[in-house]
Amino acid sequence: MTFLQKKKQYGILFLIALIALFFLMILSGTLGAADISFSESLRIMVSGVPWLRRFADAGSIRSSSRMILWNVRLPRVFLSALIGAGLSIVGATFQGMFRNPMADPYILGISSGASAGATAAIVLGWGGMVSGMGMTALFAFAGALLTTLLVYRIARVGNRLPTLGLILAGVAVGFFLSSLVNIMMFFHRDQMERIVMWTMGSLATATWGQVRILFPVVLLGSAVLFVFARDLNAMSTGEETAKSLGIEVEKVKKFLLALSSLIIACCVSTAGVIGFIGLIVPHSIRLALGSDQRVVIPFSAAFGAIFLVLCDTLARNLIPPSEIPVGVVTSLFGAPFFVYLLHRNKKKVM
Amino acid sequence: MKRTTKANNSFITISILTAFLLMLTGLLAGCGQGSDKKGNNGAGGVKTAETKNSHGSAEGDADTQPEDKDESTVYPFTITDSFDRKVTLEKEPQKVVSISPAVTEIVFALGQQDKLVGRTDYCNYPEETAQIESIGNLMSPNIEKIVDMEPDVVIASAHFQREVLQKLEDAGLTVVILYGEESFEGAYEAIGKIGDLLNARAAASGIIDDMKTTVADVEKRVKGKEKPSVYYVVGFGELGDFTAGKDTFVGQMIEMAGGKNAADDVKGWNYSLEKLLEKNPDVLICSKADHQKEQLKTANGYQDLDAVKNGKILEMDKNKLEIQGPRLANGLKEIAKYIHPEAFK
Repeated sequence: MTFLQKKKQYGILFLIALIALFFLMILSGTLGAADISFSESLRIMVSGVPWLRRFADAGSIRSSSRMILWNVRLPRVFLSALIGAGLSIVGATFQGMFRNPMADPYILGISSGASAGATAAIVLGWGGMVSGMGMTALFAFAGALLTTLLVYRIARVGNRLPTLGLILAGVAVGFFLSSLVNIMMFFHRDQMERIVMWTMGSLATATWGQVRILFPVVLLGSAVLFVFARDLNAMSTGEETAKSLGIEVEKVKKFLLALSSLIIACCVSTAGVIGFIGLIVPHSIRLALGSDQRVVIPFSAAFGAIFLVLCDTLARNLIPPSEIPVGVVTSLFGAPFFVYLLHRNKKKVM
Repeated sequence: MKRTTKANNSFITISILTAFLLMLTGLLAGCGQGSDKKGNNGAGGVKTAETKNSHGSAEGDADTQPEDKDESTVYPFTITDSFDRKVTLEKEPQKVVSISPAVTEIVFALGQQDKLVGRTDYCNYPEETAQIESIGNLMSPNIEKIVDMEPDVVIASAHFQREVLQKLEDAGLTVVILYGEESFEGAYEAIGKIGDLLNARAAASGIIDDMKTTVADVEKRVKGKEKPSVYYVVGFGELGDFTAGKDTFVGQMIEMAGGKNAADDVKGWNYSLEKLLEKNPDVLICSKADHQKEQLKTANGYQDLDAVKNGKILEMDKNKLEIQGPRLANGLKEIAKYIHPEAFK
C-alpha cells in the first residue's frame, strides 16, 4: 500500500537519477589525461550526435582530440555505467534470492571462474583478438559460465535448488578456482603482474564493441529482473510462504540464477573483477528507500551506474597519467561512504 | 521439467570436473620447465632481418644490399614486428612514443631523443628521460595521453597487451612491437630495427659494433681462467628465493663473464634456500636498489654464506643486465671485472 502511494514519487525520483546519470556521464567525458578543454569536449560531443550537429562547430578541433573523446573516453564512460548497473542489480537480486545481506554477485564463485579463465588465457599466451573480442575476455566468460553450471549441478537436489547449498557450493568452488589461479601465477611469475592487474579490474581498453554487447544484456536483463521484483519480495518472507502465495519458487530461482550469471559473466569478462559495488549499492538503496524489491532493484541499477562512472572518473584522473585500477577505487571510496550511511541510519538498521 | 536420471546427473558433474582437472594438468605440465618466456603472445620470437632493409653488420653478412652503402632508411619503410604484423612508415617519424624502458634507452643511445615525446614511468635511463612526458606504465599505458601526443609511431616491447594495441590502432596510430629473444643477438636485433625505423642506421651499427667488441674482449680476457661460482639474487625472504637458472639470459651472461652460475642445476627462476646454502657460492650479485646488500647481510640463511661473510657481493644496477639494450655489454663487463679483476688490469 505504501508502495502504491509512493509510486509516483518513486517514478520521479528514478527519472531524476537517470538525468543525473546522464549529466555525470557528460561531465566524465570532459575529464581525462589528454589536454582537451571543457568547451572543446562539449563541442565534440554535441557535434557527434546527428540531430544536434548544427548547434556546435567542432571543425577547428584537432582530430586526435575528437578521436580521444569518441573512441577512448566515451566508450569507457558508457561501459562503466552499464557494468555498474549490471553488478548492482544482480547484487540486489542475489540479496533477495538468498535472503542474505552479505550476498554479492560473486557469491557463487563466478569471479573466481572468470579469473581462472582469464589466467589460463594469459598464461597460455593466447592474447590475440578474435573478431574484436580479446581471448582473455572470451576465456573469462567461458570460465564464469562453466563455474555457474558446476555450482548449480553440485547444489541441485532433484528438482530443487536449496539456497544454502548454492552458497556453500559457490564458496567451495570459488576457493578451488582461486587456488588454481594462484598456482598458475606461481609457475608463471613473469605474467603475475598482468594477471593481478586483470583481476583488479580495469576499463581502460573499453571499446564500442564491448558497449554494443553489454547494452542489450544489461538493459534487457535488468528489465526482466525488475519483472521478478514482486516474486523476490514474496521470497524474502521465506520460501514456504512464497510457495503458498503461488510463486513457483524453484523455477524462479533457476531462472534468476541463469540470467544473473549471464549478466555477471559479461561484466566480469569485459572489465575484470570490480568488487564492492554489487554488495554495497543495494544496501545503500535499502537504507535510503526501504527494502521493497520493486524499489531496490531499479534504483540499484541506476545508482550502481552512477557510482561506477564516478569511480572510473576518479580512477583515471587522480594521478595522471597513471590509472588506479577501478576495483581499488570502488572499495577505497565506497567503504567510507557506506560507513557514513550506516552511521546516519543507525537507528534504522539496528 | 524433465527429470533426468541420477546417472545422467553424475555424468555431467563428472565431465565438468574432469574439464577443470584436465585444464589444471595441462597447465602444470606446461610449467614443468618453468622457463621464463618473455612476451605475452604466441607469435613472439626472433624475427630475423628477412626484409630487404637489413641493418648493416660489421661482420659482412651474406646480405650486402645497395642500401648498406647509403645508410639512410628509405621511406616508405615496411617492417615485420614481433607480433607478426607488417607495419609501414610513410615517412621518417618525427614524434615517437616509447612504451618500454629498453626502447627508450635505445632511442637515446641512437641520438634520436629529440624525436621522443612520450615514455613510461619506468624509463629512467638516462636522466634526461625525466624531461619527457610520461604515459603511464608498460602494461596499461594511458591511451588518451598517447593519442593526444599525436605520435608518428608508437614502439612497444614485451608485456604489451593486445587490447591496448587494438585501441591505439582504432585511434589511427601506427604501432610497432619489437622484442627479440633474451640474448645479445636479440638486443642487437632490437637496436638495429629501431635504428631502421628512425633513420639512424649508422648509429645503430656503431652501437652494435661497440657492444660486440666489448663482449669479444671480455670473453678473451676471461678465457681459461678458473670459474668462481656466482649466484644472482633476484629475490629472497618471505616471498621465496629466486635466481637466474641455466636457461635464462643472465645465467648465460654469468658464464660468458668467466663465472659458473651457482644455479645452473635449475631452469627458470625458482630456487631454494637449502640448495643455495649447500652450493655456498663464491660471489653474489645483487641490486644496488633497495639496500639489498644490507638486507642480505641479515637475511636468514644468506648471512651464513661465505660470500656474504667475506663481503664478496657485487652491487650493480640490474638494468644493465635485464634491459635488452645498449648497456648489456657494460653489465657483462662489470661482472667479469668483479670476478676476474686481474684480467682487466
